[in-house]
Amino acid sequence: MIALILRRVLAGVAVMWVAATLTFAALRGVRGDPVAAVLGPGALVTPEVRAQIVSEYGFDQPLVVQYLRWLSRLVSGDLGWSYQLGQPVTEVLRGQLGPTAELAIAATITAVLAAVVLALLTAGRGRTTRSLASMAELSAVSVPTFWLGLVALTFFSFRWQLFPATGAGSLSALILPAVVLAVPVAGVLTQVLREGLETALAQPFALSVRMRGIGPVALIGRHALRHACISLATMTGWVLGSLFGGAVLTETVFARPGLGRVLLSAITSRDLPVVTAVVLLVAAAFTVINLLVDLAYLAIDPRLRRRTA
Amino acid sequence: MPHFPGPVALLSATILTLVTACSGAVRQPTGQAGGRVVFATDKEPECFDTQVSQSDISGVLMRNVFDSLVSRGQDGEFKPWLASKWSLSADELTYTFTLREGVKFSDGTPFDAAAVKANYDRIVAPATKSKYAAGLLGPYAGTTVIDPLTVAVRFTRPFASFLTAASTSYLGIRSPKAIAADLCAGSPAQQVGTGPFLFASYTRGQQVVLTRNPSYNSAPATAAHTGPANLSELVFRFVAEDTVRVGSVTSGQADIADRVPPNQVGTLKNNATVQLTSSNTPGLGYQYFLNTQSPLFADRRVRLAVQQAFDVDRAVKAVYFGEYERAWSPLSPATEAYDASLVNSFKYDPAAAAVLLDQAGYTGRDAQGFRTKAGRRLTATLLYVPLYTPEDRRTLDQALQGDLKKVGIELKLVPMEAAAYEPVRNAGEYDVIAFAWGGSNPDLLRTMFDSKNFFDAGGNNACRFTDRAVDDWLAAAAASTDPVARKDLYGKAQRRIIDEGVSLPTAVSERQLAVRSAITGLTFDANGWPLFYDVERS
Repeated sequence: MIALILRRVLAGVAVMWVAATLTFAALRGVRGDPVAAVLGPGALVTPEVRAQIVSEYGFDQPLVVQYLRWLSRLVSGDLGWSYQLGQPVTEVLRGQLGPTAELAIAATITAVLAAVVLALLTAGRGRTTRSLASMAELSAVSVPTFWLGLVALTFFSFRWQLFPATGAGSLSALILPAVVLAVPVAGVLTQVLREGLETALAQPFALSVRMRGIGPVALIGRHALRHACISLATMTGWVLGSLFGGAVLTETVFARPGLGRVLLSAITSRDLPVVTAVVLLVAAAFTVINLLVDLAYLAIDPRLRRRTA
Repeated sequence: MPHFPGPVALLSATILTLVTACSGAVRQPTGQAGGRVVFATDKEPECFDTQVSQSDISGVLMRNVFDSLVSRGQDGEFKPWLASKWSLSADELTYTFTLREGVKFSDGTPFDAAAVKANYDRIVAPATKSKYAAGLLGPYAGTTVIDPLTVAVRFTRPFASFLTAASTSYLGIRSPKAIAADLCAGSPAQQVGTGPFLFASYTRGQQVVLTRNPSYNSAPATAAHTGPANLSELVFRFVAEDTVRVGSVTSGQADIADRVPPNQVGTLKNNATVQLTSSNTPGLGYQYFLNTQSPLFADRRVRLAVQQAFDVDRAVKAVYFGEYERAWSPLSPATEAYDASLVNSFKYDPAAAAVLLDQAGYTGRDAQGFRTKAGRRLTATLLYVPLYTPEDRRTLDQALQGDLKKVGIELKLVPMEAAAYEPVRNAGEYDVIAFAWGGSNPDLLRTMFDSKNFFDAGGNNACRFTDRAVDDWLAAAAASTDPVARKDLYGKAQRRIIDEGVSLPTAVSERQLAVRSAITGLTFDANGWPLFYDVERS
């Protein structure tokens, strides 16, 4: 198991290096003036200020030199200063990780719970139930988050005043965005889990379990669910990771702080240090989550335990 | 602030109690002395140092924390603020200000001539990396402290725009004790001024809380009262979504919504708890700039054909639901020296446009019905960056495209990434681009139409317009302190710009705000920006 963790950490470092390099290439490799990225739209500057920016950020150096300098600073743990916000990147990100993690985890838990309940209710049922369920899942996956968020706000916040429309830090402000974010995820997870359940039920072991006189509820709950959980764990890990940087629509509608919004505004203003930091954070989150998923496999499936041991 | 029950309390609660607990909590507390107002706005400041930042929202927000030397009302008149009086030397190079006595920064530092000098010198220092304020100081030569309450600001050439600049929050005065290299952060220790509110806290992605400065004694002469602000707390909440901003106000979760989109104005007019108030935005409204150096628009007849083929009235009415007037000048009516005589000076006349195109030699027609000249189609490209082009403007672009098609001109709308757009724009490789630019000073025309102000020279002359007379008029106007002469010179420039068909104005945009009925005293400055000092909650 220690070998597994070590392998994962090494792979994680490699992923972070690649991600950071791609970020640099994407933001600095494109045609365009890096000074303009620092200035932002609508600036009115003297040539002296322009020269100051060029020398301070080292934009007069060859791109390779800039890359190596930037990489060595990253390795030493210095995320640098934001171009647009005029502050250390760590200062910018402080307070953003909390609300993001809160939202991503709440949405994932909601989605997993919903998926387990719905899959158990619909797996192995007749054609009508199944096609109704597929239709519901398909609409859940395809409904635009933005629209769903606005509809939820209109009724639950503006009309019935059950929840605050904006803000973060309290449970009541978390419920609406978490549910809205969970809807499409739950749609996908339900499909995955039900398919897994049905595959497991079609296997020979299901028949032998039944022959031992065990009822359908216990068969699904104790045996088939465990089989189906492998694919659920994989999907859940992927979803949780992607929600860390990808909840931007939900964050925007509900005016919540979070990494997604910081990342979006940093990308649009080509704020390289901030984009890099968020990309690294998300890559690190993915690495950790994947490791946890791998460990979860071991817990779920004893066969894997023997092989890795 | 609406208090929502903590997580522990709620976790143990049933859905029903959760519902009742929250439904009472989202309403504003009322009847408090002074009271608290939540202002929901669309943008969030990227930097709170107005001496560095160029963004509007930084200016609007920090106006409550930093006072300026002079104030300027919506009528454009200059009134005392931190300076009680001022004079201009005979050579028009030196402004001498007599400062108000007994004013203190909120950290206890007295406000004096040395503070003014420290601020202005900081703004122009290259290390400050000012993106806007240093530009506003123009040909700044230096500041001299004459005595603690008298200060002289010198320029290398006459600079008539200085008082306008000095009245903005970009030249607001911060405590010299709190001056350091980097002051962008939203931290109370960095943002120290003499203003009516104190910077209390900032939560990124959410809000800024300002609290009343209890010892405020330097209200501008343009305000309705003196002494401390009426409100005990003012919250700027950052809500990017239009619908959510408006819904927050109609449901009482916020008190004022900024920038109500025209499509929501109609429903709000029937809402008894919310009033709409609007201010005209000075500067250049959204308009099309025809590149006079492109092969197509080098010909004035083709430019005028575009001007007459575009049914601006119909487009503006459709896009803005009849809420906005159409524009006639590159400057909006709220700008100083706006030339009202341009109204109705040209008209929608596709037949006349067709004649002009015939004269310019575009007499053929191709299979799709577009005009041709020597077998080549009459095609123009309009470059735009989708990210910076809101829906309403894209719809205007499409309306222009449709109208031009009717007279046989093909307008291609070409979307571009911001980074790729810039070099293409700077090289002038386009036929049309369009944008808006806010500001109350008509000297803006110089950055937009002066032949020395092409993009690569740091200006915004998107028409690549090279008209000696316009250059001379604008230079003379900028150097003149005589309002009548300025109005005449700027009027000539506006008329020439329209007569030459280089700028195609669209709508007169307004900033519409939705205000709950309990809130009174909201006013606007010369920029059309909301002012909160006189606001009160009844």
